[in-house]
Amino acid sequence: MIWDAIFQPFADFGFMRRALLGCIAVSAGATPVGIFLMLRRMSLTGDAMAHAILPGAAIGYLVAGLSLGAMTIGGLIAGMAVALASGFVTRVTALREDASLAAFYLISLALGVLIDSMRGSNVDLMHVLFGTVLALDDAALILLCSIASLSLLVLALLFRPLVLECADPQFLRSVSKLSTVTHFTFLALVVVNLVSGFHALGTLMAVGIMVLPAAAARFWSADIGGLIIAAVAVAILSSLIGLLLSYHYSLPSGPAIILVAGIAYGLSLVFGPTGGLVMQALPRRHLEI
Amino acid sequence: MAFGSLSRKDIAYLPQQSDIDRTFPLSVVDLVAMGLWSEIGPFGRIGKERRARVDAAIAAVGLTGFESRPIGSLSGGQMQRTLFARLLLQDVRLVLLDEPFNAIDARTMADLIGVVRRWHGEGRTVLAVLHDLETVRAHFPDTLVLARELIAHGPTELALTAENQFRARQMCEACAGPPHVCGRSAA
Repeated sequence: MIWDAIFQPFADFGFMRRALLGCIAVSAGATPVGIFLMLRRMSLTGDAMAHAILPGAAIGYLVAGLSLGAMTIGGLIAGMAVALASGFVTRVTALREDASLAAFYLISLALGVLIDSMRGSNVDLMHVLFGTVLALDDAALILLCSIASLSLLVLALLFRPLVLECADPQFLRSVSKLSTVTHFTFLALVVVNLVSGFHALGTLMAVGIMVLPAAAARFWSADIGGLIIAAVAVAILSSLIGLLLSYHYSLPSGPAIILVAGIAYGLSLVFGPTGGLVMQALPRRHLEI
Repeated sequence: MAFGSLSRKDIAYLPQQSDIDRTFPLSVVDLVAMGLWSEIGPFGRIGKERRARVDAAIAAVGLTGFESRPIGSLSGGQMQRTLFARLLLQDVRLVLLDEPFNAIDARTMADLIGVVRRWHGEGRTVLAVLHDLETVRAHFPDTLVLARELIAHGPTELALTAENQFRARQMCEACAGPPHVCGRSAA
């Protein structure tokens, strides 16, 4: 029974094993980045960046069809261009980061949909938007795992300046010149992980695996290490359960995974020990008499 | 600006309103330890010896026992103590303080003035912006009186004369409209 429900699909079908591995790689790489997005109040920036990637992927698709390399490179270039352009506008003009980013990603998104519709049907667009986690080939898996490893490595190197850049940017600027480097390297990490995520889950769902587990983790831990561990655990569990649901009930896998992550977020919101609704409702004594 | 022989490493600045994100999951000891940045940079290890110095700085501002508190749970005074502890570790020649005792309770202020006096005794320069003239008279040996322009400077008792204060107050009188350069009426 339990075997049938949980292990059979992975034992019998290679594509399920590949899907799981791909999801674990995306979870390990993207979720810690999502934690920092959340801590910097930039969760929606992740969403904007995901849209920004679209025209690059679309041009890659236009040039080379459903080619892993072309779509990856295109997505990276488009994402980085939007990140740099909006960062530049923010630093030299009075426009705030949210507004400049919104401007650039909307332009980028419109361009992406336009380019995408120039060739082929909307089915192709659906592939880019919602991903093909059940059809990951060797090359795609190697790409996802490499990006996850690279992302973790860079995050480890960048950890201290990134924490300071989030918590006390003024101080970081006063003691070191790393502030700008840190900011843009972090944005690059967001882009790289979204590009990796869109191969598995699509551009829209990739943000989900980045942001939802991070938001859920906030209710389970109060320090950064704990947040990262909790978020990665939520992401991997959501992937596993989502894939199984999609297998047993013939649901589209990307949305299934993200919905499970959404349920995990809802449960954390209510039952989480640090600031969850139940804990807030319980009366707490400050002084025992 | 010319800093003479001072470099970035020699100057520490405590802004009036620091833009520290108080909701960020950092503890007091995490924040204070970053005062060691010029030594440890982005990768350096905080070993036993440095950890002892961090603890000593926390003790010097009277926050022993609060090491693992998240910064979000600190009161305004405790936060200011934490930031002073970080300044202590920065070990700089010139400390710039912008209104460091604003909205701070009297005991915290007394403790932090003790820290400022200690810096002074160690031969460091502390340049503080203050509006409370009593504090200036009691604790700061040299004063620059600024009100739109330099009114006076020198040893505090010579600079903060009744006459200079009167001139400063006149300069501070409210001007209507947007900030502008005031003309000097023939006095």
